[in-house]
Amino acid sequence: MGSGPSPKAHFSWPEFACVAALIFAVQSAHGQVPSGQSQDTTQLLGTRASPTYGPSPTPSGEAQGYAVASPSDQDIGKQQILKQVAEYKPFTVSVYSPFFYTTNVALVSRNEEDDFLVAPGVTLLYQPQITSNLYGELGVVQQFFLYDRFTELNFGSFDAIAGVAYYLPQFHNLSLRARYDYNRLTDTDHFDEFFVNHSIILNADMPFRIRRAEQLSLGVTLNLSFYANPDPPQRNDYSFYVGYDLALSRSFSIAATARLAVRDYYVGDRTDVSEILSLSANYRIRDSLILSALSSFAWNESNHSVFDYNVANVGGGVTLTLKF
Amino acid sequence: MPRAEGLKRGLLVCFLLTAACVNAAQLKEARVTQVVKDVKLLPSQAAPRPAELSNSVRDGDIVRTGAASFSELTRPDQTIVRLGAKTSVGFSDGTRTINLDEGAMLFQIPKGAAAAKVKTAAIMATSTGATGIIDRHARFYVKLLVLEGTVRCYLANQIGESLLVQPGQILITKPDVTALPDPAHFDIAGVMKTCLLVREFQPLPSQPLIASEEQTQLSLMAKGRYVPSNLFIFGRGTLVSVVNPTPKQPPKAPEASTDH
Repeated sequence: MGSGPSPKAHFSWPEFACVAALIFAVQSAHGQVPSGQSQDTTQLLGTRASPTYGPSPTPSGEAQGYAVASPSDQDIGKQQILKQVAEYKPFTVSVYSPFFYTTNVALVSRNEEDDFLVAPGVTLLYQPQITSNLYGELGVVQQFFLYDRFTELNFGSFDAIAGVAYYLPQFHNLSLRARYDYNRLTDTDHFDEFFVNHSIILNADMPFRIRRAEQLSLGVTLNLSFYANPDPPQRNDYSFYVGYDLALSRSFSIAATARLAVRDYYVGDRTDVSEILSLSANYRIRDSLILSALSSFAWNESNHSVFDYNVANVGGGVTLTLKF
Repeated sequence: MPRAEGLKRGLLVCFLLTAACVNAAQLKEARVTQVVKDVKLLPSQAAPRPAELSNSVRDGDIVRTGAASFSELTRPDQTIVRLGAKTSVGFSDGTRTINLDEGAMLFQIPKGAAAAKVKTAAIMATSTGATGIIDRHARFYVKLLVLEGTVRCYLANQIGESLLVQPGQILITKPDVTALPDPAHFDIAGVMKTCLLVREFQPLPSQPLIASEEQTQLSLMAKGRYVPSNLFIFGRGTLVSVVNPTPKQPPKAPEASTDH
């Protein structure tokens, strides 16, 4: 492919990035920070690009707050409470290779074509702990999207990110994140750039633990693009999401995320509204190795009907994550 | 002669079947292996009586200890249960499930034995190889300490409320809890040196494993991963006492660092 947008109106590169985004929506951890079209890929890589920050609070023995109603027998001995100093590992390396069958490779409303694709990638992150609740974030992500039949659509996506995350344990572990994201899309033959975007991403995520193995999350994300080249695909995203996680065993969990996104394009008076439902099942073979079954379904409506589309993606993947 | 041969074979089969049945019944029994002072056995279908060494304890039986009294029960698979003072336990599921109604007990489940359970209120603790202490007082608290091995703790009536309690972890909660809290950490060596359920009995078969966990803790303290606090729980209950000064180095003899 050349270095510019595709001549086919429905095959613009940002739209393909949207495909990628939808495809990987299922992997999106709640509270991940999406970033425009191609940046959706970064967002939807979610757990790989932005693993959970920081340790969860562990109550110490003195903080249990239970009434003392003991016969005070000494037969079980003296229990000295030890304070565990959590070893924080700021570096994360993730390597992953999801694959999908997609029903609408070009995200079009008519003449839909299906295809298989594989999207191997790697994420390198450095997340230093600045204060007890404040973490920095520096990282790079490189991922390729390789199609089976429509090989002319193959592309690579590179992201460089820098930001901070702040946690408020007193407010349900509310997390606030701000991130600068530089995204560059290239072809896969010569790495020629055909789209670049700079954006600021703001995210608020609030988890609600229902039980030890069950959690609900609510969040909002603003993805504000301040420079893009070429201009036409440039847009701002405003999204709200609800996530649900259920651990069925220590190794097996399922997750679902419903996301409503409004995409306001800078050029052409175009506004899209997308509804995305993502479902996944994850089996942890080891702490660092996860097998996943992935699926996502998206419905997009635009004020220009030519941009309406529906798509379903079903697939799986394997992820290796190392922290140090 | 063929008739005599047939008779012999029949007798042999009967003998083997009888032996198998007796053995199966014995495998479902625990035996009293130590009695100190006031220990009562309350069989399900007989009058209460003082427990004696080698008494059998079966499903439905209850063993109860009085003040300053102790007892030890041993299953055929060498699972050991030691009861502290003022403790009451019952048995079910072929004595593999121990129902702690009140008091404190130490359990040692050897690796390779069938999984054993301790049930107290809504809380279940199960393992296939661990040594630990569990303490309950009425509706006020349940406390679980793991000395070696891993114990899975879960709520019988709450799907998904399950966690693994590792060596050196202490879990304190209410008996009627609906969500399990995260465990804290305690000094294993300190408990081993002061626990009467260890000191007043024969050494546990799992003593080397516990010693290994003590060494692991000391090693982690030396690396700064664990910091000994000046917070102590003396015996049963959940009352946390502040003892000064805070030891800055890993204590060689934890009890010596307090002036309790």
